[in-house]
Amino acid sequence: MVIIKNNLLFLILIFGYFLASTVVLINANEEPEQQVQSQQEVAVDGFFSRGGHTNNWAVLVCTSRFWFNYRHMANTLSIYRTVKRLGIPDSNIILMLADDVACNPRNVFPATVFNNAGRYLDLYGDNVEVDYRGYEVTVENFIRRISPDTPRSKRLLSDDRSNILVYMTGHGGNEFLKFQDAEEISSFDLADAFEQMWEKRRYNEILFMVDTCQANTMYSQIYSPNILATGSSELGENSYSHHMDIDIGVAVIDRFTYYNLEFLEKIDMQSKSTLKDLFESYDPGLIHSTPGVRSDLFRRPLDKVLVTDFFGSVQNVELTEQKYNLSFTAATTSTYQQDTLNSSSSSQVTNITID
Amino acid sequence: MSTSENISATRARLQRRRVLLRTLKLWIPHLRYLLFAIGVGWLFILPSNEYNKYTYISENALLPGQVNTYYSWPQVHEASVYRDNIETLSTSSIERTAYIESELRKAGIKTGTQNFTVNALGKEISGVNVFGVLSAPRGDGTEALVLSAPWISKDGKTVNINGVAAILSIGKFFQSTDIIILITDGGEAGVQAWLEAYHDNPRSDILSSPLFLRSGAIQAAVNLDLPGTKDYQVLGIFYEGVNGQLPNLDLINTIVRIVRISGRIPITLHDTGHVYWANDHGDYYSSLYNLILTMKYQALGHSTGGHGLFFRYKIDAVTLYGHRMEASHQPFMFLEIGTAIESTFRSLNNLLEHLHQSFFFYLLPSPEKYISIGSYLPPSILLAHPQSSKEPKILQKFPTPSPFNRRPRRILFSLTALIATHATGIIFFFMIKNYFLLNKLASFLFIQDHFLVLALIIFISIKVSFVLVSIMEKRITTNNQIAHRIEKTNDMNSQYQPQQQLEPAADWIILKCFTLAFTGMIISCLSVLNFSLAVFTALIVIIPFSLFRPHVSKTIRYLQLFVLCLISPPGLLLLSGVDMGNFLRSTLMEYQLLGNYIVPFVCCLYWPNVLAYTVIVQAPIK
Repeated sequence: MVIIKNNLLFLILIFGYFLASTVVLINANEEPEQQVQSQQEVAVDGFFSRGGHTNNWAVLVCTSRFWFNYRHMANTLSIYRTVKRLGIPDSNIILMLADDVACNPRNVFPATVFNNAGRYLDLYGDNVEVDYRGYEVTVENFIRRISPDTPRSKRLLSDDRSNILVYMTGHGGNEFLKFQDAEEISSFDLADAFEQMWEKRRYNEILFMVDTCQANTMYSQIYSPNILATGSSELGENSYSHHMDIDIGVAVIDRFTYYNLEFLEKIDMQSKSTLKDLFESYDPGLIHSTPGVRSDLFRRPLDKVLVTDFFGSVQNVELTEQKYNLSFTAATTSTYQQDTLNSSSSSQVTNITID
Repeated sequence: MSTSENISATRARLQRRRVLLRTLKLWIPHLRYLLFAIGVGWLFILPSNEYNKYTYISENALLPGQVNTYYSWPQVHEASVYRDNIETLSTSSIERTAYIESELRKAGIKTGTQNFTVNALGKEISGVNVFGVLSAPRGDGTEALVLSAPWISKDGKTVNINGVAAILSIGKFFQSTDIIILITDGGEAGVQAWLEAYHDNPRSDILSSPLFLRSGAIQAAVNLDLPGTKDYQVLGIFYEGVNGQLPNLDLINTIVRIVRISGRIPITLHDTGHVYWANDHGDYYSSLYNLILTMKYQALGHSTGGHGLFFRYKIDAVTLYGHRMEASHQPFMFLEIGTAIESTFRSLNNLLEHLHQSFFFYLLPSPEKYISIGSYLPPSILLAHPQSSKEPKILQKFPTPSPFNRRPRRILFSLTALIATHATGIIFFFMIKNYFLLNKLASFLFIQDHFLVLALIIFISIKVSFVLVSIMEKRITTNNQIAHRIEKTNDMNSQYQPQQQLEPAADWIILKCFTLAFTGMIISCLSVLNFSLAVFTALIVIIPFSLFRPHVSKTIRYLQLFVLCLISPPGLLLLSGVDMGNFLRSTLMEYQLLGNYIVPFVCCLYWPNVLAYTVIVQAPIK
């Protein structure tokens, strides 16, 4: 009896789906003049096409250890500070940091990390939540953290509406990045990890940013869709540090990250700057290496992608003074209103919108 | 395949092999002269600027000269006050120790003293070492750096006033590793006593009070030797340690780089020779001079300063020596030295492990140029090679008519002879080890100094060689008798004895083979341990050993004997013109106290081969 009941339910569902789809198609065909959208609808459409994400995550990895790699810790903490400032909460940030510089006995300014010789800003100031520290920064922990096969409690809790910023810095070479003098991650490992995430619908879009020697080789093997990648230097090029603090006695920041930060510091949560603006700000003369951008896997045009889509967590909410009346078509053209249309499984809804 | 084909193929193979062997036999004797020439030529290429490379910092953690230094005029003033005070101190160890201890305590540094008495060569050296441990405020105390100064400078006379004053004024800068400030007494004996006590290595010949104050494992040491009270024109870097050991090249590179960045101190290697400013790498002759000096120190296994004793404990160290010159260089003093030392220690502070990235085997033609082991080792192997390649040639000297006819080689006697000469060498070693004891005995017998030992040595060597030669002669007569007997039996049973029994090879040939092979082995083994000693040994020995053989002419025989006497250790000492008593005293001290292996090497490995050659040149030719 139970089996028959289930089957009946299923049949009814399928019937309902066909009914709904025919209604939609007929509606679309019946009213061609509606293609000329009203001004209201353009505004609404623009609002929805801004990005397909509902939440933001950041994975920030410093793969270096030791005092003389101070700058890598400073790089990572600088990006950490930026994404926090732009609204990504600590619960959505995975920070992997050797974390052996702030309280290093060699540090003239104990319990601080600076990214500038002027020492304007203590990156270690307050509320730094390091998720993986010291010897826990390993390739395995990194891969497991982003891999969808690990238990829920130990993984990045992203979903298919998540935009993820993956930032890595350290010492690397042709298609590898060294983790703490002990092991290395290859560009293939990284590409496969991203593909697993894609297969299990763990992201909407990824921005992969890497600051290391020959960094552009790190993203060369990525093959999963919706991934935008940028690196600090080409194959055969070194990435250099920007400047050193002569009291601390070590270099405090790398060039690529420095010029990224110079751009990002001018961004706030309301900023309309796009990633195109960011990438165009890269000056090989200043960075002393040739930064690369890989956008062939990415589906949106870069001038439509806000910097805050990745570096911030800006809720897609816009308060308006007047009321917008949404027509049925405007809603269907948007990808993000599917669930209101049909309460059946989401795959069926996707079929409708693609049609 | 048929058997006939098989046979013809084998025959062709044998033919080929024979042709090959014949050409080899023909060429090897000429080849060895060529190799010798290449080896010597190569040695002279080493100093040329095109051959050697620029030094570079291998260890990323060092970051030399990239940090602010805080040593400034207040510290310079402090140092000057210390200098003036030290100058007024008497030479008594106790007063001096008390002063240094109180000054260190005033600076808040924990201090300790160590009384020691070293018993070497029947003499007692005693003194007091003072040291302080400057604990790093946030360090864990597991690692330490040593900043040391001997009380008496390396010339053995001048008091190291500026060095001690500089050290006292330096000890207050920022650091993360403990710094041990060490002022040693009694020359190398004091350093050795302190090191043994620090590493808990009690020795019967060193009596010392235990150290109650300690720090962690010592990572590196800088020894400051600034004699006198006046300014200096040149900073000399001494780096050779006991038995030719060297500090990691990164340590020297760091200091040189820091001095270069400060730009106010000209440097030199050792205390003589070319003075280097920035971007100056000297010419060929200055490089050659530096190499020869280094190789001399290394070959003698002589430590060029207190730093050389640290190597035994896997601590990299150098001595910085203030040198005055007539030339009108801008003089430098506490400010420049203090800054350089502080910067060096800030770099060493950054180390996470022992210096290990850069070379341990190298030659420095100039402070910023190096020759790595891969570039300097080939000549010594080339020089050792003719020794061993000569040996098959001698064995083939009397070509055998067919492969089935072999000349009997009687190796037993030659081996015994070689063993006898080595046993003699060991006897010499014990005599020289107790040289000063024997001298005392001689003075009881109213014989002049070192006359007794020399007489004994000459007597023993003559006796040994004569006994061996006379045995050889005896063997020849018995051999002849045996040969006659064999001939007779051959005649009788000629139809059953198709092989012709040849006369056995002369004993001297076999002995020469063994001696040459042994010498070649010693040189090639030694070249990886102590390249300089290997090269000098090869250069001295190679020509006489290759050419000498028993000769018909009496005068040539005596000439050969004379040359062998000259290249024997006493002959070499006479030739070099050093004061034999002083030289032996310092070398034996180093042997007993520091483990310098030059005396056992010369007595037990070098001398026996020369002795074997005195037998060879006197041997009967047949």
